[in-house]
Amino acid sequence: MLKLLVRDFRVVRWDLWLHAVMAIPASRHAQALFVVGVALAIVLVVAVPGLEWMFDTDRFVCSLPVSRATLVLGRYLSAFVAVALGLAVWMGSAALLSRRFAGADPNLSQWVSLDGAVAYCVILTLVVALFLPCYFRYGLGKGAAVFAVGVMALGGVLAGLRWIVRAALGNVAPDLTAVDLDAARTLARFIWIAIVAAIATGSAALSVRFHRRREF
Amino acid sequence: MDTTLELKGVTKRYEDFSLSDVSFSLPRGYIMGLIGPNGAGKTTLVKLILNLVRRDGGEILAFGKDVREDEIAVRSRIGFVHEAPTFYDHLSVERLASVVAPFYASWDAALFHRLARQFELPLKKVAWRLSRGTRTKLALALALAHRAELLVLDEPTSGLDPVFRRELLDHLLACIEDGRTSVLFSTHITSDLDRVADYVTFIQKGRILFSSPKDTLQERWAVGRRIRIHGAHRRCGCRAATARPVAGRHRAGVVRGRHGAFAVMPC
Repeated sequence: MLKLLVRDFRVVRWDLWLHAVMAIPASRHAQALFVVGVALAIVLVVAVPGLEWMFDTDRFVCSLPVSRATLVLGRYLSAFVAVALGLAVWMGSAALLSRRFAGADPNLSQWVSLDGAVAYCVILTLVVALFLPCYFRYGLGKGAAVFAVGVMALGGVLAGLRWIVRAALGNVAPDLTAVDLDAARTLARFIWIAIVAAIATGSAALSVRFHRRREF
Repeated sequence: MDTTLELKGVTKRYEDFSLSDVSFSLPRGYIMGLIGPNGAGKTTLVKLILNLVRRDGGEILAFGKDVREDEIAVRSRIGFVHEAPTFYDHLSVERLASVVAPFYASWDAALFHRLARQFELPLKKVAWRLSRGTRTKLALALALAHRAELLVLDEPTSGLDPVFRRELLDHLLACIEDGRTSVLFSTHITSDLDRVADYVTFIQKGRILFSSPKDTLQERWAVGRRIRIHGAHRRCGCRAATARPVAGRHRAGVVRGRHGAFAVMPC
């Protein structure tokens, strides 16, 4: 699998990504910086599938002595390394901006925290977990369209769930504020990480299944 | 005789096309030409051998191992050249080799550079700037640099000018000189077979019409000097009469005669 990670990082032209990295310090508003950081990581995740789609290298790659399952898991590994790199760049930029530039958003330092990192990782893991099965099932073009529809559907479902939960627990919420907030936050972090890890695992299994079925 | 590749009753069904009961074998150290008209199933067969499409039935053994069960072990000994080879086109030839190399334990960088010199590959040039012929040569160099024991080439000569084509076929001949490498290449250009093939397998509408040593075919089925035929007519001896109208064509095909369809292979 490391061979595939090395392959992915050799294939990507890193010098071109420097332009994208430059966009981070340009965003001084905390939320904008977060969005740019997430967008950068998404671009990194999609870069190699994009190149493979553009140059139609699926047949070439699948003819190499690597099993389909390893190919898929290698792509997940590359994606998560890209997410980790994006996180490091974003966190580094945010920390630098909040300390060195007077004009930076005062809320910036709040984002450079464990909660900020968890939020970043949760969002991107969900993106990876949703995007890659679509990619391995349909290829990049159709897969991206299915992914977009899926994200919208998921957004709708989550908004609906939120509404239902608020409607059902509306009266309980004031009592919850009395609970030790730190403990609740720690629990929430673990629950998020567990849910996202389960989704990522399920996504990888699904992608392996899809890719094994694909014919080139 | 030691067999490199063996297909037994392979079937593959699509909505509008199917490969039926495909069986043939390629001995070690020989070149087999897979010939047939466009849409006959040559590329599907090559894809089945490389496990790029899933077979519905039958068995495909390479080096005695199933290409599906022992996928990695088999593929590490196979070199492939697809029709219209695709690469990461934004990378240089040298960088492409460095991307492919880690996948093969037996990759020989010195051999790749020797082949690159021999094929006159521009190492610093990005792949998308290479001509069709040079791309095929690059694919061949990548296939050979890990000392493949079986080369599978899908229409490697189509679209190449005669000089390139001749060079490529000469390289294939050179490949089998060591006695351990075998070559399976598909084509619809019969003169390629005459030049290099030891065995000829003719596929038509997803069925193998014959698979024999080239010399045997020539001895048994030659009509005059220009045509070899196979099919229902061989049994009744009327091949000469029905073969005449197709003599002079340069591609293999099928002719309908009194006793049904039969394959022709003009020299």
